Amino acid sequence: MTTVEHGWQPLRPGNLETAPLTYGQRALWLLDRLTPGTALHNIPWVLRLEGPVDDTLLGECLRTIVERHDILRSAFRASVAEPYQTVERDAVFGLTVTECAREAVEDLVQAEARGPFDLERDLPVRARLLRWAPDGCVLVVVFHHIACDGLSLPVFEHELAVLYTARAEGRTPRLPKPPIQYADYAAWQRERDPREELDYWQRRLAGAPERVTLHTDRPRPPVRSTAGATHLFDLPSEVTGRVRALAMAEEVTPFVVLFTAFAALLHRYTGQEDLVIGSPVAGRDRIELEDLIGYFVTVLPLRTRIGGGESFHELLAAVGRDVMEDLDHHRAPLDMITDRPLMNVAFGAHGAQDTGPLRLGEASGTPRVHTTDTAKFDLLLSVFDDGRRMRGEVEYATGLFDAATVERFTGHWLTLLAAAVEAPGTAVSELPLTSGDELGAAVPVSREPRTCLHERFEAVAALHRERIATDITYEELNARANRLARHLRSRGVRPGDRVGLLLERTPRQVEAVLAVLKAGAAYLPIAPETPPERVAFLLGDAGAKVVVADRAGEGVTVGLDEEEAAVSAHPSDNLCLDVPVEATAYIIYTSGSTGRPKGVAVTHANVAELFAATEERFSPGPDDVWTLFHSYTFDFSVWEMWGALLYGGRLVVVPKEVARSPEHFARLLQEEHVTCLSQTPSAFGQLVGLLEEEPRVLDDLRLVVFGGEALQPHHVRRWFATGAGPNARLCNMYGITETTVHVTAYDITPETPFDRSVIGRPLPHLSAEVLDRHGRAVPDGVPGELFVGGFGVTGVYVGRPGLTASRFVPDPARPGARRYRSGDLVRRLPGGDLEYLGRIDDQVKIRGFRIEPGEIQRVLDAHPDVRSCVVVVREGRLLAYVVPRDGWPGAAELRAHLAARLPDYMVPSAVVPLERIPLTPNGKVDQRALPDPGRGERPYEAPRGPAERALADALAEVLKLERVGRDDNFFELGGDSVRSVQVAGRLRRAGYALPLDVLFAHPTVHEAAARVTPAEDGPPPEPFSLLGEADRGRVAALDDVIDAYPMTSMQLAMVYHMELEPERRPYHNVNSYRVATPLDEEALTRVVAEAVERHPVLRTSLDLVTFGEPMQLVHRTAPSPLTVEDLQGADQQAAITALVEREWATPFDLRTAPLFRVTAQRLSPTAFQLTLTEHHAILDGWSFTSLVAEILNRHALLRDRPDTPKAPPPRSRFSRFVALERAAAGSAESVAFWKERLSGLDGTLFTGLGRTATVAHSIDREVDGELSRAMSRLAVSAGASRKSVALTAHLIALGRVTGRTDVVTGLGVNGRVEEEAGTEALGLFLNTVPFSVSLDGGTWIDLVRRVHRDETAIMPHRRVPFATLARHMRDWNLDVNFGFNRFHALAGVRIDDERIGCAPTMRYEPNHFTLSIGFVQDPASDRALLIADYPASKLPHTVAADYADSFMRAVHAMTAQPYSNYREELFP
Amino acid sequence: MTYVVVVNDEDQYSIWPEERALPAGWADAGHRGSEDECLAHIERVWTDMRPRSLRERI
Repeated sequence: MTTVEHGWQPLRPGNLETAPLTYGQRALWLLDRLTPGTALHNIPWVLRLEGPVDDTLLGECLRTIVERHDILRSAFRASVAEPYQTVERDAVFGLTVTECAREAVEDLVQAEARGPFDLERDLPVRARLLRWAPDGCVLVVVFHHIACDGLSLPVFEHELAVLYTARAEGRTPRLPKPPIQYADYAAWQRERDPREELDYWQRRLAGAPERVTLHTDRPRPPVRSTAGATHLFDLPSEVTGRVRALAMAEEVTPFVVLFTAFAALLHRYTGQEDLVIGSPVAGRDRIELEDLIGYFVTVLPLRTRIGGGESFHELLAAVGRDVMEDLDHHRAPLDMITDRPLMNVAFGAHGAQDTGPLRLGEASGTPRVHTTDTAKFDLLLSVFDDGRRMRGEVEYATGLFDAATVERFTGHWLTLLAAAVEAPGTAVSELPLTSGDELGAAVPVSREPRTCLHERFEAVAALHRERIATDITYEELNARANRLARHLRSRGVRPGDRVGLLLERTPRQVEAVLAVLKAGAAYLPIAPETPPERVAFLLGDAGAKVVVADRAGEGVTVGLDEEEAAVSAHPSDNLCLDVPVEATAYIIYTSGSTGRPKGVAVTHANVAELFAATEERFSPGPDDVWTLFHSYTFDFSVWEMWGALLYGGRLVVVPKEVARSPEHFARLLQEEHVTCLSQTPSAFGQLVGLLEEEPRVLDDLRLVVFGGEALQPHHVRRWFATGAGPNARLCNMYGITETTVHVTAYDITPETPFDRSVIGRPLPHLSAEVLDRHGRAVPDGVPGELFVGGFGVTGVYVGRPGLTASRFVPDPARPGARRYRSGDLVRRLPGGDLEYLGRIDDQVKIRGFRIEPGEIQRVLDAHPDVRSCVVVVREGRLLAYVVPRDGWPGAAELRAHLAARLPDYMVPSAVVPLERIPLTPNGKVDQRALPDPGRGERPYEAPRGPAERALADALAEVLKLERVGRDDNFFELGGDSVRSVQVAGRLRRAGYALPLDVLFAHPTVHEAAARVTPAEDGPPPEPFSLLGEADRGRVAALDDVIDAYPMTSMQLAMVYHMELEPERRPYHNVNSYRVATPLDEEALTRVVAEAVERHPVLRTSLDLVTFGEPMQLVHRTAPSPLTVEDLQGADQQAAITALVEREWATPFDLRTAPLFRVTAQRLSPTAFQLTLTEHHAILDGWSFTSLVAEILNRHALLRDRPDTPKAPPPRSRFSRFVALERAAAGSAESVAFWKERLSGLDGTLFTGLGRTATVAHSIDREVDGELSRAMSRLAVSAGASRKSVALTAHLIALGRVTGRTDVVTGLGVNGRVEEEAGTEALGLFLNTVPFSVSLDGGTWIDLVRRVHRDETAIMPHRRVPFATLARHMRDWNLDVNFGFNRFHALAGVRIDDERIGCAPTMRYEPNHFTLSIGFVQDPASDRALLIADYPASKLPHTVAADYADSFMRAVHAMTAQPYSNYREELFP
Repeated sequence: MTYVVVVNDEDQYSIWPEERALPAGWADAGHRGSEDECLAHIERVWTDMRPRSLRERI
């Protein structure tokens, strides 16, 4: 065993301000960046308290804990090298107190628990007290995992109890200072040499599989969803007792026993003999770490090898040894191990979680960790052991698994565990998974047929003499077949012989088949175009001496054309030979995977059993019309032929040319009144494609049977959509030649969902069992090989005893009988239906993932330009072949379509256009006829433009490649998540910002490069540096002016519109809030003064006339604009309204700073009204709410701790934005970009309305949490942002109310400098850019994607001022504006509101648009608010209301059915 | 894995894992070995592949 130098010197405190992240934190931070804005890493701690609680004291105690543990007041930021943590000593932590109704508590806890953290800006902990009664409240403390773990919670609880109880009792709490801080540990960990541990894990994981390939209920989405659920269960006490006993006897921990059973189950589920299972370990193996709060836990990749044949006992011993050694190496930087496996499945065992009730002074309660409905792994099984009882929890990804699947999985684990601990000597492969009731297949039933096929035909022909059989009557057909049979006998054919048929698909083929059977022989069908050497092989292999062909020729015994006269000379009555039903009726050759075709001999009895078993289901009869669509070399033809001829129906023999032409075939179906149709899905797909373009109603059609290939859901969906078969019943049948045509059947109706390849249940004469590699039945839901037993099982492969013996094996269920091992992978769904998963030998794995080409085909087929397609695997490569509908959309477009919907490993490496999909004579896809696109299909193409070059260089450097081309793919080159961070770092040095998820969603160089933005780090410009010479001279004369810069065009526009409409004063904003906290006048005075001091924009005045251009002047000082009133005892509502009206009526003097006023009105000892008035030109929405937050937070802080020092001024400045805007206006590239985009665009959407605005009106609609989350999910699956989703709904709603398909809207864009701590700076960073889209139909998701693409394209050019842009438009007008706002959480203070976190009680924010839309995210929950502002004189109320309703409908429609066409919403 | 060659009343041959009990209606045909060895043996001995009942009727 390797020993690792642990360095047992104590860790010492270093008073660190910044530290690197620990390895664990770094991995977590990366995950957080990849899936931002989720609650995935939240640890919501909830305490329901009974008894009196002092809110203020509780807040103080929490603050003390945050101050004791620096990690809780740290921010986590990226740097060029790697992320780091830094202690925010000035950060304000406060307890928010919310008074609420008892019933609302659970929802509020949920909202608090699910709210995301922004690790760069927020503290990694927040707290809220929900109070509904003086002695009833719930404390919710939400930690981010990066600063906390499960074992931190007892530390936190202990400190909280000690601090609160002591202070409540007037004592000084005794809590020793933590010996070190987490940062000390991080620094220590990162200073250690990790090489030895790395080496250990490299060795340990070399060649490990990429993941545990659990079969999921739904395909894996491209971007992992974090949605999860938890299934709870108890371990029976007799099992836990045995677990402990076995653990003790084997000298391992109970964990090892439980883990081994888990690994064994995964082995049984997946067949994997090599598994990597994640397992969390505490990571607190040093005494200094015990009382720290922080993220110490690590998930170790435990690798286990299981053959299946070993006993559980042997496996346990091996696992025990491995785990011991793995644990010794737990501190390794696992994220640095290259090619490490993903841990998608994990197992953890934990000690007692329940610490009992917690006492806070006189109150007490029992803490719990609230569920966040997220899943970190595909599946995580945890066992909690309090020393007596064990209980279990399975956390699983709901995007992958159904609850029922997980419950079954849990049941299987418990059964396996119970059996294993009871009899540890049992082989792992023999351990039971179920108690037995899940199994048990139906017993096949025989109808014991006594007559041969031709004899039944003769009886039917006698009954239906005059009915048409093919193109002639039954009587004639029987007579002709009798004559030919006699003719064959005259050529030596005897019962038991085989007769080769080489016939075109004409009615004569049917005669010949009948004749051969009447002669007592079996027919061997051969397609006439078969090459002579293959014909010779087939005849020889089957032992056929007589050959019947259309024309005489070499090797032909009977040429029907030539011998017509001789044939008709024979008598026409039935021959009545004695032919046993066990005699072979036909021999059909199937291509073996090993080259040599094998002949399957099928008996009369086999076919008779098939029809006996299906009669009830399909009731075939004399009125039916069947098509003989398939070649007689494919046994689907057997079904078609006898389906008609055994029941007096008519058989329409479809000539080969017609069968190959969907146009002609569709016409035939209609003209011949076909009732029963059999189709391979490939042929059916072509038929559906045609019916979509040339609609036709086939109302005689009553039955469509599918077989021969896996049926894809889109075929079915599209068929129902055409409405072509109003009376047709669809039945998906899975079949095997070896078990006589069909095996299972599944009825499909428009109501039953057909979202996977469900093949139903076995026909009554057959059994279907799903077995694992060891021949044991697998439980429901688990994939295995399908074995078919019963009366359709045929006899032999002609002349192949060995092969026959290997495929037809003893059926233990029925003495002496055989069952056929199909080589097909299926699983039994809950309810009993089977799902077809593919061929076992075709199991393709790419990069360790099991690929199902059908999944890919399904998605590709949904592309509007794809008429049909096929996806195949060749030499380990995925290839897609596409028949385009009209024009070829391009391989890149199709790959992008796939990449947006499927995991990257499922995106084909080549997409090849075809004119038609080649089909075999049997109607299946002819794989061999698909062209090979060749490996060299992606030649090196040099990167274009600076961004592509920079990205290609960064990739080459990080991935150590000589050169990287613009079409190269990050993953194919060997990239992974760790390397993506390095690439982003290199790019940043080159001056570009690359969001981390971009490379994942768009792995090719040119696609990713289109999404990088110039990094904008940089200092603000020097004071006065943006001024011309003359202006600099003028400003020098002004003493108190410390900086000056020109106004931005948006500021000018606002001032201009305000001057233009003095009555309405657009952009003079008044917002009034009711704040539920005691007002401290002194504190507030200080806060407002400080704010004016901190923020240059609050000391800024505007001067439109003195300078060469409109100027903003930053003054050294400005007076505090605060007024405080006391309204206690007054008519408060009237006073507030009066104030708001007064504020609105009092315009600012632009030349006097600040352009901002604050009034506080005391309402009660615990509440006040805060009213803020601002000129919009100095503050955008984000800045405004930031300012409100700053005022309220600092007020609370200074009130409670007046000695708190001042906050430093923000590092960034508004002036930097001014400089950037000026640069953008002068950028030739940007100007050209816009010119092309905007030329001739018409922003006037509402005509004939008044142009002067009067009073502003406003309506709003709430988007509730559920709908809002659905928007997020849509955004994720479209690879777009929430903003794009909302913008899409906006555009559709505009289209709806204007009746236009070319809508134009203004789009508010944020010109803030990214990637800086600079978001603290206040100012008007806004610009409005025109945004247009043509709505000419398509799916919602594509529209979202298109909108997102356009938005992304705008990003680099977004700062070109609207004034410059407007010049390119038809006139300068824009009627509509859309803004997407995500404002600050007003943390630490509570604003009483009715709807949404930051909405004020009274709001007055007029603007100059005819219709101005705001989509505002509630910072405290998932909810959002749609706000439509419009002047009543410009826009009728009904139009605005229509707009808002349309918007909401659009959001509902697109989230419910992203793949439906949005046209329906646009023009209902 | 070791297999045993088995035969039923219709003189049809197949193979079965040696470690498991013979299924009902099947007899040990007296040959053991790997899967390939057993199949090769069957290739030699199973010369008339018609079921016995059919063979006897014709």
